Amino acid sequence: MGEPPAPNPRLLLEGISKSFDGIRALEDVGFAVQPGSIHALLGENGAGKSTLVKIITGIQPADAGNIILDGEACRFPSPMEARAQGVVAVYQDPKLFPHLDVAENIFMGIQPTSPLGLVDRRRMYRRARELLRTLDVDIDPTTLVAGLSPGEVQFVEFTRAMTEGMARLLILDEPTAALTPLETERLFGVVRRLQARGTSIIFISHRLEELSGLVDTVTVLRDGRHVATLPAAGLDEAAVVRMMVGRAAGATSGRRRQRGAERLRVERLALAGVFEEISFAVHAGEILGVGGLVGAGRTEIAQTIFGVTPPTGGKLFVNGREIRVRTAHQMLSLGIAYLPEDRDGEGLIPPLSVLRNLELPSLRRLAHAGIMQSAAEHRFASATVADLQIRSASVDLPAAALSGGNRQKVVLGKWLGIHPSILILDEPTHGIDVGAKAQVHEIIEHLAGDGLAILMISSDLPELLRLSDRILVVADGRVGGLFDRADATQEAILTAASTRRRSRAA
Amino acid sequence: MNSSAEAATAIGAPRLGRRIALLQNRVLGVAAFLVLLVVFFSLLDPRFASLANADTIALNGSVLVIVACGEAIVVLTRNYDLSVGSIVALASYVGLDVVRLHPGIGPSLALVPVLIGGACGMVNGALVAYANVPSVIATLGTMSIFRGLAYLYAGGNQINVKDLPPWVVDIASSHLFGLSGLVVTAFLVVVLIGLGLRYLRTGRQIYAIGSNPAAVPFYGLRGPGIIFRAYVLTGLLTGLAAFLFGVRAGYIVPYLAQGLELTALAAVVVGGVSVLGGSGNVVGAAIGALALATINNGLILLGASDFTRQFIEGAAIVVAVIVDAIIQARLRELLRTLRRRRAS
Repeated sequence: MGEPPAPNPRLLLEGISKSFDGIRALEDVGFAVQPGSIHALLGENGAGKSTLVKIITGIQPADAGNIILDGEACRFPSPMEARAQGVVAVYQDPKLFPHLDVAENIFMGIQPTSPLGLVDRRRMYRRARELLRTLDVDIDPTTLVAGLSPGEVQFVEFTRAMTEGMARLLILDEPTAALTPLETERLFGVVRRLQARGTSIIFISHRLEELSGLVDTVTVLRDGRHVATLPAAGLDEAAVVRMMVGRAAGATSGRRRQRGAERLRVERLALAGVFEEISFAVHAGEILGVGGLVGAGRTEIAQTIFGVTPPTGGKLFVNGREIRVRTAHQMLSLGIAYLPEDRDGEGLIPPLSVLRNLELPSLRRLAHAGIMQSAAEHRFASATVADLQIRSASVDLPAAALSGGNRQKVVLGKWLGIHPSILILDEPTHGIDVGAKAQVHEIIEHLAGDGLAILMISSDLPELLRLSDRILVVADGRVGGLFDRADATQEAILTAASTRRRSRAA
Repeated sequence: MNSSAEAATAIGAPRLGRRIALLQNRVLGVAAFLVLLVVFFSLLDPRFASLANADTIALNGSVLVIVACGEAIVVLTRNYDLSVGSIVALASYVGLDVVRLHPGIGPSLALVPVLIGGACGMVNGALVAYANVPSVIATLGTMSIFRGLAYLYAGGNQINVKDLPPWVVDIASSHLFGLSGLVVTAFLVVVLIGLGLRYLRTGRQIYAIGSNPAAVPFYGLRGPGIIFRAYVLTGLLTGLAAFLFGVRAGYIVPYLAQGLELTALAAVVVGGVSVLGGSGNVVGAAIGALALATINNGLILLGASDFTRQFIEGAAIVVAVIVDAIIQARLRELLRTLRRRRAS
């Protein structure tokens, strides 16, 4: 709050608050978005950006506060009503139907029909073609959505937003995370054309840099609170980061670790059609960061090393010995542990207790002649909880009851129970709050200090730069670059992340 | 390096698009499979390639075609209906008993089994769509429930079609343009359902929910409503099939159409409807049903036992699902290549 709203803001938020299970996600958030403005909404993961979008578009109701659209108070019961009023959000993970073509996706649920109630397919494809042309987007409406690039998928979502006339407010939730620079440029072009037609745009991001030259106003959220709404002109990244984080940024730990023996080496590792020519090594006591665009193949590389999808080419060495990767069970027995990005889906079993989750990989060790020893189980669980500072009232509480950061610590603790020598972390702090994030960082550095070899995939550039000893950048399924900590900058990594395969058979 | 990945990268964009379209639309492949079967059995047994035998296959296949169309609708939504065999038993026994008890009313009573099927579909739909019971479990339960109800209602009796009013047999043995009424009915069902899935909003929504259920609410569509309607439609079609099935059987007993759910599912899968929902069509399912009817007929001519036929039908499902998985993997690979190319 604070600054007086302009006479007729497109969107005015007043005192928006929202809690989930007693945890404050948003508290008294208020700001205004002017007509025809491109407005950046910045904040760290967990700052409340996504919750705010869900409230504006009617996916979730606010506990308190007002949403005023062009001077009219509104509270949409569902995204459909919001859409009818010209308020549309485009999400990071596109909500489209991959088996259907572009036109069908644009018009699903609102297909033009003949007087008999039949879908008028000819009119549908013609209208789709027209709409795509107004946005100056070159996509054939008969293309299957499954065959579109990540950027094109977003354009289809935009086009869908335009079917009922010009949208009044378009909200883009971190749309560039999976885009190449070329696609980002195209996206910005389309956004500018929409702006020129009078649509207001809220552009959600956690970096101002990428939006420079595009946005005119910046709003920063931190820990569910509104920090500031300022004109973009004259703002620099450092100032924004300070507002986002609430402290000076870029404080690298500075602690130098001793690099030990080589633990894991891959040579020209390949998985047909996904990645190829991947070579690198990780040493004991080293954190090798893995950067790149979402969808570049980083998770696939990690899962191949862990044996989930065995490689189709190349070599892999563990402690200098060549291994034929076949199964995850085999890789686990070699001391490799993998923490998946989707921690609730693949990393833990939410309804089971913290104890049951922690002990899963260590069952054999905690049993005597095949029978579980309750005392040993509890000793093990309590020690892990204490070591990792897992905040849970009891080890018998279901894992689902813990916060995101604590759930991540449970996943970590689960694997540490088998004393791995190589730890693969996939987006270890994605979607967890700032406080827990710092703790997870501390744990990771501590583990490396204890001599673990750590491979850490992260899309969070500051995190990558802060923790990694070296950074491997993956671009389009190949190595885009390998940087030492000293040479690594955000720009260098981004440039390397967007290199494309140079030669491709015509 | 893997050669297929390189091949995929090497081919030009239009050809890539054509390949994807070919893998997407599997009707041609299923039709070719049917032709192969016909050639195969004709070579093995001269009696197979006769007009009379073609008629037999068409008649036997027609009922399966209708049930498979119904099953396909549910499978497109990423669900299953394992109760269709039991629905046939319940709807044909109760429906034809009503016909037997009211001989004076006339052909409009043919609607009774259809409506009973629809009611069964509502039960399935309510369980899956609104009570959130996984479809396999829900319809496995109703499979027993509907079959049990048929036994309870029959109480050890059976219905002889000869005891039914003459219009019943007249409908079953009617001919239109020299074609059996049964075949014409099945053909009309395929055409109408096929067009409906393509040209009605509900039809498109059935594909949409099977393609990505999570996206449906973002389009302001009510997912449960779509699934409910799909089950009811499947029930109505199965009820229609029940009437024809019962009349053709001659004697209607509660253990009628045992195992039909598996045959129907096999037809759908052989017909190229993805078991993961969202892709395929009823024309494929219908040809799949004819292919199974052909296999069945051919095996009978060759003197194969019931057990052999059961074995082959089971194997057909498994092989079809494996083929489906291979095609889907290939499709994903081609689509990935296309996506990459479009991004740069």
